[in-house]
Amino acid sequence: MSCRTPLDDARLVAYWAGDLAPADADAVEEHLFGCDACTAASTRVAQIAAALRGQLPPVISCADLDVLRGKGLTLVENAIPPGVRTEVTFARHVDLMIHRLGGLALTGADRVQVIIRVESTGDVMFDEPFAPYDAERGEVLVACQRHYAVFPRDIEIEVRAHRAGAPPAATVYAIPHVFG
Amino acid sequence: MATDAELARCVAEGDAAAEAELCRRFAPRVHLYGLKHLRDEDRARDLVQSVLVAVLEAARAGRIDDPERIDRYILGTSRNLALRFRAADTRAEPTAPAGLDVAGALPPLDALDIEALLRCLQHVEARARTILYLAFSRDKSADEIAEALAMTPGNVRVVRHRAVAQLRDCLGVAEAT
Repeated sequence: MSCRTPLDDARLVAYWAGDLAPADADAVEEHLFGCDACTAASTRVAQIAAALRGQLPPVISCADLDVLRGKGLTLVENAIPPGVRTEVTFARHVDLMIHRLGGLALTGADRVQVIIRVESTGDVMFDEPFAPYDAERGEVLVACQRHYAVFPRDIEIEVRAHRAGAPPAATVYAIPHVFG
Repeated sequence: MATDAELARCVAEGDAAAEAELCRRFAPRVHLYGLKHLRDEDRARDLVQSVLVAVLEAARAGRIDDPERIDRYILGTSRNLALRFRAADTRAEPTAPAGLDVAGALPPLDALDIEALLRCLQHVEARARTILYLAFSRDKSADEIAEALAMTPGNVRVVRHRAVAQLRDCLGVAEAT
């Protein structure tokens, strides 16, 4: 199984990211339908793309939360105030913890950014520049998932409200985690 | 090994083995097309079945004018049926003709171990991790990501590509056999 003019990996990644112009995407598909070797290469990228897409994002919207509730999952919701160190325990029977990061002034924000760091090292674990938020309630929802147990437990979350012509307004939440 | 065109001609002559080989060869390609455009494993598998049924029926009836371009014919059928699936926004209920073994022709796309994925993501540089997330979970284009992260779109594409390669290596995603 070989190909004389193989599609390069960067193009396949762009294809699976939906980042090719329609004519380029059509050309990739025309090649893939005639080529076993490139179909195999495309499958390897598709596996990664599907796995990334299949993840529940760490920051979710109210609509996402309603969907999760409808699935019958065991959810625990924690109201987390800013500036107060709040330890949370992920109990064994719980499927998902929802941290309600409250006390935020988000009205008029152009966008909200959420940065999740390891408190002790400052290492950024996750940075969401386009986080969903509830301006009315002044709240951002973080979905803490059991498989996050593989990450460091001392978590600090910074929420930045971006407004044109002003420096971002930052609010920090220290949330050490215990996994039962 | 028979070419795709030879298989199409044999199907027109009633060769059951050629039908099976044509399905084996094209099922993974239609499946990937379905995953890309329908974004759902079940619907992608439905698409495979519907496309292969339509193609085999056309080939048996001698309605494929140019067997040399059977790959384009199958791609065209995939595009048309995927559009219909999306328009209907529902799963199709294709009826397989006797002898069409789609399940046998279509090995499942191996799902990756989520904890392993997260461990591998930890080894990806923070900005690259953000780019992966924005590209694949939030469906942001390279231009949109570049604007948010103060990078150039070209740089976003390079980082995205390298990060996928790093994940693939870390996860040991199998090379084609």
